[in-house]
Amino acid sequence: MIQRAQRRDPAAMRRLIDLHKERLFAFVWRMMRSHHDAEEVCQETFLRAFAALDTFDTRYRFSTWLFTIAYRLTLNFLRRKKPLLADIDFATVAAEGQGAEERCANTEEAQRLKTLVWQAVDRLTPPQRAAVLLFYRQQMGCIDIAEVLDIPVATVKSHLHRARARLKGILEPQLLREYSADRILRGFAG
Amino acid sequence: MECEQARNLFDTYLGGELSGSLAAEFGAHKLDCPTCRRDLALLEVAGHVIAADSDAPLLGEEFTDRLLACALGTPRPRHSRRRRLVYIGGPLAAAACLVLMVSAWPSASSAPASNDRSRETLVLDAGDEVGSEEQLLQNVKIALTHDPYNVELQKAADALRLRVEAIANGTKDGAFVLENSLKETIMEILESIQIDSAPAEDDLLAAPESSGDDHDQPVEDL
Repeated sequence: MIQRAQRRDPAAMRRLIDLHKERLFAFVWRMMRSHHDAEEVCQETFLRAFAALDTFDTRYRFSTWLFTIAYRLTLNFLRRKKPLLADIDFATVAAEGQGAEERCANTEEAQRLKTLVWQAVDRLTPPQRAAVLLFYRQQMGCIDIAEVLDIPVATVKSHLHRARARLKGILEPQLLREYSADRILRGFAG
Repeated sequence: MECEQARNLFDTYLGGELSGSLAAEFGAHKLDCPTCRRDLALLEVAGHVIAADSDAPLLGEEFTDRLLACALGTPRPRHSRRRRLVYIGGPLAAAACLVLMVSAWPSASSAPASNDRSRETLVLDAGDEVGSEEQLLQNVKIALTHDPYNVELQKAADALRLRVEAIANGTKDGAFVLENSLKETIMEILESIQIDSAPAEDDLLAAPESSGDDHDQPVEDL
């Protein structure tokens, strides 16, 4: 498909866009918190990828390459923008599958927990936030994340470690104040 | 295993990289130590929340089309320029229809009867050509050829020419100026020729409802 897209085959290009656009958009949106800006970055990401498709080495994963471009564009965009706003509306939640994720999504106290967690994520630095999103949302390993962020693997691990420490530091006092959230934690811990 | 050792393994554990005897030792400590268990649970919950997130909005369906159009260098799909066509194409279309309607309207100053057939043809052709500035002006010229002494037609042509110049850059403001001006011109002409069954103003100024691609060209081409 990549090779067909390199020959500017519209069907192949369309397929590539459709395959990756939602995951890419979700990542960029989580980084930027603006639908309009995220869509702009996504569009620019694809355009740059298509423009440079001839140089793409097919031994690598196309998605990793896309995320690399998107991350750099996002960073550029964030540098030009004001600090991120934290007024996020978590109005609706749809549980995904069974198990822990589902337990985290369905109750009112889980909604509160979600809000707290995402507010905490928003307070991470952009590289920490990107590492966390790629690790948890995109299920990427440290090697792939290192490629996307263009940093050594050890730095990725450091980002993840610091991000978790920071999340814990932000979340713990808030969760301890809330009995219901503490109950959730005890449920998981048990 | 001590708490400090266990905490140093949190990242490895959360990354799914803990295995063998170390994993067993870690698991044993987790069972024994409520503090480590709770701290680890907090990080696991945060990870689950992030992983399960489904609140991110989705891209619109038109994103792919728009992107492909940009990537392949083809004109943008019609939805993205429809609003501007309403601003610019609508008034131009109304003006074209009016000009050609006036040219075909029987009046005291109209051309000889031998030209009636030509004028009727012009009216029929107008609907196909209103989306193009070039065609529009061409039609006006043809209409003037058939009826060079029709004052209303000349007024319409002059107004049209002036307004087309005003929107040379295709700006939205220019289009509004055009629309307002043409409204006045149209009403003046309708009053002067006393058309009882004149179409409603809104109909005249509405965007052309053509199913063809004639009206679908970029505003820049108008």
